[in-house]
Amino acid sequence: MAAAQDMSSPRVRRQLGAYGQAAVGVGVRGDGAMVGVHDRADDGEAQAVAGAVAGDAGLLPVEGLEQALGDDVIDMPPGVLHLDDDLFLAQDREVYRAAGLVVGQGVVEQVEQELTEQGGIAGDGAVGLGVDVEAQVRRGRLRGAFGSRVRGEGREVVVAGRGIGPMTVNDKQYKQLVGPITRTADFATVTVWIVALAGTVILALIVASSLRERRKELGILLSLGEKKPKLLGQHLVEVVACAVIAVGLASAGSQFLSQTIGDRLLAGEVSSAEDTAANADNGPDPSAVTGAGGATPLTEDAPEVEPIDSLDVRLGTADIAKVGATGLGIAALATLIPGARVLRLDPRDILTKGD
Amino acid sequence: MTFLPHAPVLELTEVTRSYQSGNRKRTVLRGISYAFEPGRMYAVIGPSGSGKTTLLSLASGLDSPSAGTVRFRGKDVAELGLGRYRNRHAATVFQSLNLLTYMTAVQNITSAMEITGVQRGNKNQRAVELLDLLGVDAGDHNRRTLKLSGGQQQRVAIARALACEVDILFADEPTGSLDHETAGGIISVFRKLAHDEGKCVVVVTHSREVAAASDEVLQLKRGKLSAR
Ligand SMILES: Nc1ncnc2c1ncn2[C@@H]1O[C@H](COP(=O)(O)OP(=O)(O)OP(=O)(O)O)[C@@H](O)[C@H]1O
Ligand SMILES: [Mg+2]
Repeated sequence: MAAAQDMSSPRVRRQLGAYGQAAVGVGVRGDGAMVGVHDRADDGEAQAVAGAVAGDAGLLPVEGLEQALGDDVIDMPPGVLHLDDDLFLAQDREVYRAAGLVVGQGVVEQVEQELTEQGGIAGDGAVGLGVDVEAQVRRGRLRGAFGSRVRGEGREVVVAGRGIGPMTVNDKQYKQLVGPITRTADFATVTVWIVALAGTVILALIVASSLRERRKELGILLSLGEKKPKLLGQHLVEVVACAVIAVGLASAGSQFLSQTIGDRLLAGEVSSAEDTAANADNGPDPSAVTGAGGATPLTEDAPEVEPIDSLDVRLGTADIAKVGATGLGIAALATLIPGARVLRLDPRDILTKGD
Repeated sequence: MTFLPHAPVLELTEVTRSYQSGNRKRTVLRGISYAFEPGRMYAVIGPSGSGKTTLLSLASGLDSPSAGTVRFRGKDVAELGLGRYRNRHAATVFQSLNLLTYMTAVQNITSAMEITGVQRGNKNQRAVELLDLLGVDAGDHNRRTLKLSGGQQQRVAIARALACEVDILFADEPTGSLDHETAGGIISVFRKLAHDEGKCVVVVTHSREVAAASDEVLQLKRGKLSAR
């Protein structure tokens, strides 16, 4: 095959050097799934890679693609890319993200279009991308991503890289998209912990003071021979009954509240995310995965993605159950901690001293 | 099990009680031994601070002696369980009354009957009977005890102790805030309780009338108890 000759050309090697000795290709299929191609032949040839993709089946119908690409393949430096060893196939979005690509059908189409405009290959509705996956794997970022390994025994796939060369792929858009949500979620998690902790402390203090007020009453009941655990149990029942009512009201009210507050918080995050995005436009993006000597950094022209700016808040039964259990747990804890004092009460001290 | 009429219902054996205040130890009761019999009314007299309330706390199972034993019908109350002893066998009218002030007179009595497991069909009716017996006006039965006078509260506290239907009744200065006439009424209630119902009644008092009405007068002095 004519293509093989070009593999050893200095130019190809230089270009492919960016991917490391073992090169990897990541193909983005039209439906958003991903195909990874990897060559680890240790022969020093910078066997290359390109993403290549077929319609449904996953792996490329080699001949068909060759035909489809036809003469272009032969002509285009960096030339014909030769694949002869391992094939990796991954179809989940995990890979995508790990490779630093943006999740989402719309984005895929954008990338695809962009690549096509830049002279990339988009065979069968697919995009070929060269990504330094190997380096990513080494950094532990791609572990498990290429989970399903397909041995392309005896296959020869010829795909053109068509001047795309090492290419910048970044997850800026993805980050832009989900940033506000991630931050809102972080904020919510922290808030939940703070509220739970503060709630326990406050409730414990209230229960402690109510127990102090009831010291005399408890002493009187003890003098009549009431059992201490029973007194504590009654107190617990009172607090838990209140907690049950509170959880009921909270579930009813929180749907409305969380939607309102969630929207507000998100709105705040979105506007700050937009600010950041505007500022970052001119500077280098640290999150970008950049191959050395990038010919056509994708970042530059990557369209801004609107951050997600609306949330649909829905409170499921599971959530209510979780909240309820937490609430009851807090109530019980807040009762039992100060309640330990009940067990140490000495009715004689309480009752034989004057009023 | 049946008991001989004069077998002691409550027995103190070498009962000693000391209080630790700072690093000084104060011994209030020093090796007191005495046997209380059912069907009798006892008066315990002594100067203020002599340890009368302390003695009553030990005898009623509200406190444990530093040394010595308190036996109810021959059984160490520590073994019986102080809570159980108080619940089933002993009732106390405290010097400081200790009513549940947010409850009415009747409720104070019925809740005590509830806790001590008194088997009465109509607890309200029983409470009213007792309050009548002690001369609390019907109009005050359903007032919160917080609103009642000291003398009225004292009688509610006595009624509550009577309602528990226990074997031994302890009363710490039960006539302190009562006029002569009402005090006389209460004394006769206590006497009847001892003589007609066979209970053991132990009354701490400064009142000569109460002492005179008792079957036995015990004096507490310098940590020792002696019959007079
Ligand atoms: N909890 C306590 N801690 C330390 N000392 C105590 C305690 N209770 C009582 N005492 C001391 O024990 C002594 C006897 O007290 P107690 O209350 O038994 O006297 P009392 O005879 O009932 O006096 P009164 O006639 O004034 O009621 C007092 O000196 C008192 O200070
Ligand atoms: Mg006293």
